[in-house]
Amino acid sequence: MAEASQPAAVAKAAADPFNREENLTADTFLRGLWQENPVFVMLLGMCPVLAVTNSAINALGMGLATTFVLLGSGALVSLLRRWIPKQVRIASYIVIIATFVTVVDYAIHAISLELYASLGAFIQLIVVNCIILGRAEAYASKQRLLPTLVNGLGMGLGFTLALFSLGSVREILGNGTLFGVALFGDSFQPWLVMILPPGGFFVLGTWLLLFAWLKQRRERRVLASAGAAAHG
Amino acid sequence: MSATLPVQSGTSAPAALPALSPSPMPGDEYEQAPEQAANQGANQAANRTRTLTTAQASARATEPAVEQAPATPSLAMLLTLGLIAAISGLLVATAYEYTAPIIAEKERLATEAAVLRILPNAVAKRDFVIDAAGRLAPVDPVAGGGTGGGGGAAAGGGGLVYAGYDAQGQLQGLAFTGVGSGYAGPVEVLFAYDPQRQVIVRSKVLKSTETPGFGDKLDTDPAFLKNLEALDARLDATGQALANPIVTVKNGTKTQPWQIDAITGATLSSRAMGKAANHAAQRAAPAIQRSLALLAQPSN
Repeated sequence: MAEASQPAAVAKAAADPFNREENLTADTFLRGLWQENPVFVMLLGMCPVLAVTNSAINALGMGLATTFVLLGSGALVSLLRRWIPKQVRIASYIVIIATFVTVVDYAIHAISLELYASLGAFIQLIVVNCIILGRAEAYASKQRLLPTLVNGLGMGLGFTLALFSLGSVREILGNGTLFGVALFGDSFQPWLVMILPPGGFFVLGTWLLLFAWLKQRRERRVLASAGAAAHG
Repeated sequence: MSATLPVQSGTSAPAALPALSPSPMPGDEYEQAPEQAANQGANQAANRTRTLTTAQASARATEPAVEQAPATPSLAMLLTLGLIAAISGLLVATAYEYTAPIIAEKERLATEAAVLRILPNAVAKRDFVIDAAGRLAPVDPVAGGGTGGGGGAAAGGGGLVYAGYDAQGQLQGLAFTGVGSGYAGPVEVLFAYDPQRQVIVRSKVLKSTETPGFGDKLDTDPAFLKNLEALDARLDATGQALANPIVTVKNGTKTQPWQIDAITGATLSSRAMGKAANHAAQRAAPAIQRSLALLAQPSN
């Protein structure tokens, strides 16, 4: 309270929510794809990651639907960020997200009955995907429209990429096909567990292992080069 | 604060009143604490007082922040939520208006394609409903086309029977839908029926919410589909019901032509298929057998 009475501090505090607007850089987009990949780094949205990645087309459909919802809800939240009172922001975000999920639900139903049938209830469940609410709260509500869209696209594509990495591996191992095209001869005995729920955990775990190993190797190299520089 | 911002002094005074009012409450509980100590033991009471004091401390810590933030009038919140709900409603309604006819048309085409695919020699189809007397009655094709969406919905409820004819107008077989509840919800299946042999000869899943990757097997697993190549649906002596209800049995234990061998790992979905087949055949087969003369008449 003592700080707040100082005019400079008051001005700073008032300006703060809009002070953190970041400039549009390549990083805005790339962060979601790699550094802050929602699945492999942040481990968010695990329900669809494990549930609908039993075939490549399901994974791709789910990823793109989520990307659309991220973009739509991010845009609206960003545009309305100055008008949404803090007390009702979560309710507002949920309504906005639910709207775009309903729209994408209708769109997928109109585009392909097969995809709609195989994704089932998981399209509606995008509403509770924490990546989307997380982006709305942590990014879209503080940033201008363009960075929000670019960041949302990066996050969405990063999510799609992760789902596809799981979906393609699981479909190849568990069903011997990719996008429904048989890859092996009739002698191939599908590794059925891979398209069952446990397979989701196995493949996700393997991918996480790979990512952790890559990260560790990079850190070790940085350390080694720093050490070499110090000694040399 | 009232000294630096005299304008807000009017608002900060009522704000201070509710801030004061909670303090007697923790105080009351604080006074109750010794009584509880007598009843429940000193440890628990000590914990309670500790949590109370931290709660009071945090309440005091948040007090200035609450006073500092400009209070948002309820009206603004209502207006914002109302506006967002209105935008949301508009978007959903627009999307629905735009996609509803496409979805209805796609579902109608899908049903028609499924009927013609499931009756391979058929090039034309006629739609029938089962009337109150348990006989087939033709559906006016114009009316049927006009209410494409409604027709699809009726098929979901188990209404229509489709008859397929070849180029010479000969009856090639019949198709009807059946619904069985599976693992995640109803499974709607289209069955092809051979009226001479009284068997179900093919199946196609129209709608299902089964686990992706499992429910699909009802339509793709070759060993499972063999079950439905000559699934016995003979009528009993009265002609009112099937002689043997169609049932799904455990994988590898099929011994009778009216049994379906379940898929390992998708038992509930396989059972849904059995229920759907039984339900559909019990409903449609008697009506079809009663109306063979009507069906044999070439279309047009």
